Amino acid sequence: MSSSELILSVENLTVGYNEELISKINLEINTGDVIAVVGPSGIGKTTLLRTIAGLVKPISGDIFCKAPKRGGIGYIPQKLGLVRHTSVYHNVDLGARSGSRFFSEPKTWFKRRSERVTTAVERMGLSDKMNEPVRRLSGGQQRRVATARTLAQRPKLILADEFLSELDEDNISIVLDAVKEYMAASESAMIIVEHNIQRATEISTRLLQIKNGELVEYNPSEMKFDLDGGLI
Amino acid sequence: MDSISLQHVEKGKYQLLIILGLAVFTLLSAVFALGLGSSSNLDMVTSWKIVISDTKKFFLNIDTVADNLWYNLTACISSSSCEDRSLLHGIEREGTNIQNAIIWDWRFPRILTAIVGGIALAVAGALMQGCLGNPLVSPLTLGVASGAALGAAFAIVLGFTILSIPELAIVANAFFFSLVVVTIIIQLGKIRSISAESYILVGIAITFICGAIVSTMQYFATDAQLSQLAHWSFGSLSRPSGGNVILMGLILASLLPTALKWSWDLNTLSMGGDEFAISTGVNPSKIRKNILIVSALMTSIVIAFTGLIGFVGLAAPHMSRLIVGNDFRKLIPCSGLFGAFLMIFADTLGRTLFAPIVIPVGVMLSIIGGPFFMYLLLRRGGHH
Repeated sequence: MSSSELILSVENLTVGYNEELISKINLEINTGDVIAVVGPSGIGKTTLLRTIAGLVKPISGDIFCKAPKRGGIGYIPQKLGLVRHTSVYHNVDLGARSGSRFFSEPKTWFKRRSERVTTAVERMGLSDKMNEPVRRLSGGQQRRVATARTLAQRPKLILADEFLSELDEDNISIVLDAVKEYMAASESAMIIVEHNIQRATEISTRLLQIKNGELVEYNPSEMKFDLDGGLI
Repeated sequence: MDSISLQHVEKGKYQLLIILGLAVFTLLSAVFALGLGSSSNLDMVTSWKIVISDTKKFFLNIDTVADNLWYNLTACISSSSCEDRSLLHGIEREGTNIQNAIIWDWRFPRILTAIVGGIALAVAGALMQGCLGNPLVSPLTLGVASGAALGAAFAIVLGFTILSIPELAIVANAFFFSLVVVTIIIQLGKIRSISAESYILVGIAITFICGAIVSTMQYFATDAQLSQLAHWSFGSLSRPSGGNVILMGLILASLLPTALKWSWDLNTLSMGGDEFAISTGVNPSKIRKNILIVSALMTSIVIAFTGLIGFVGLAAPHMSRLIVGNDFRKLIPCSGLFGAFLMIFADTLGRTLFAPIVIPVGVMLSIIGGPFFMYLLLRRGGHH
């Protein structure tokens, strides 16, 4: 990657629904960053992600996002939200549709869209399942479809909520390799919510832990674990 | 998450044909309605002859038409003594002056209003039902109409007007006050924790507040004012002039493409809610706010001129949904056409059934449309 540039900056953000969950969040995210947010469940990880995505309005503070307004943020929810009775192609196309603009070049719109779909599906290793209905796929394959949908959208910032849980090692490496390949090619950044700290340190370049309602940043390469995988 | 079922995807071409057929049918019923009326010296065949020959002459002598239009726009605005020329001024015509006046000054703007108003209200209804995820929502739910009614009441009872031109005083007031409601909707979008339900509830609250103020004014109003206010609230197509309709049409034409542009985003919203929409790259809160603003604008421009017409915005989207399903790329055009057709049908029936008494279109729509709507819904075994 050439030079990293700012994609998202967060100033004095407080998130939560009725009560404050995390406060005093100050964060600058550059291209190439893979940020893992860790902490026990119910502490506000998903809420933070949803706030950055724009699904929840912040209690206070500002979020400045450099990503394009339309399709610039890709969100992979914990519950995948796939259309189960339609094909893999159709599902991935949903992402490709929001990402590719019709009005910039109407003539090539369909072509551009289907290119996006095929690249993303190939990256996820699902080319042979292209016309299969999603409901016939295994859990791991469905998660790959959801990730492909977000990649086809070509976002500048990927927000993934527990997207490696429920996956076996093979699937994890497929998904991670594909996402990393995409990030290197497109100069984008990623925020992952992950409950497994050990895995979070393996995949991230920056690690954020939620402690007492505030974010503490660690360098993942300096983290040490005991034999049970607990943090020292 | 099965609103857009495979069945509908497969039936795509057939549905496009239906929409096309509906468009032709609506156009034909407009032409038919142009020939239908209570005048004793103008039967249907004569009126069609006049319509056809005048249309021909309009296009053959387009330079004369342009001259007349230019004359109206320039000479007539600077001097108060001149009279507006008809667009076919100076060309020998088929019908007598009275016949021409009935067709072109009376029936034509009326049918055009029915088409423009029907499209606007039905599309606004489809948009609102989609983005708020509630089948009970109509263009009047957000309180835009009650804002307009409040504006009209201010003009009629208190004499408080925004514009001092007497013909446009009520229209301008109604439009201005409905814009106030639109502004409230825009401000609502900025509030934290605003959900689809809160938009509806705030709309109902606005309706009650405006209703209370209007009732208070009615309590102190004179009999003449009361009857004028009641007439306004009936919703009628006889008020807008040809120029008004063209203005309405232009505004609608500028808003419709945006509505169609958002149809896919609406699909994702209605398929799986906010979470699903954002996972496909659509920002739900922004789309919802934009769509509400556009549909509220569409509604307010129409009801400012016509008065309250509510039913078409509720029923037309539902009727279209029974035909083309929940895919907004087809639902929006289909609703528009259905709305236009319903308005033409109801209005034509309203002005011919008990002629020369004209029953307002708002009343007529509910009387014919209501039972038809119920039949359609129940026939499907409670589809909604």
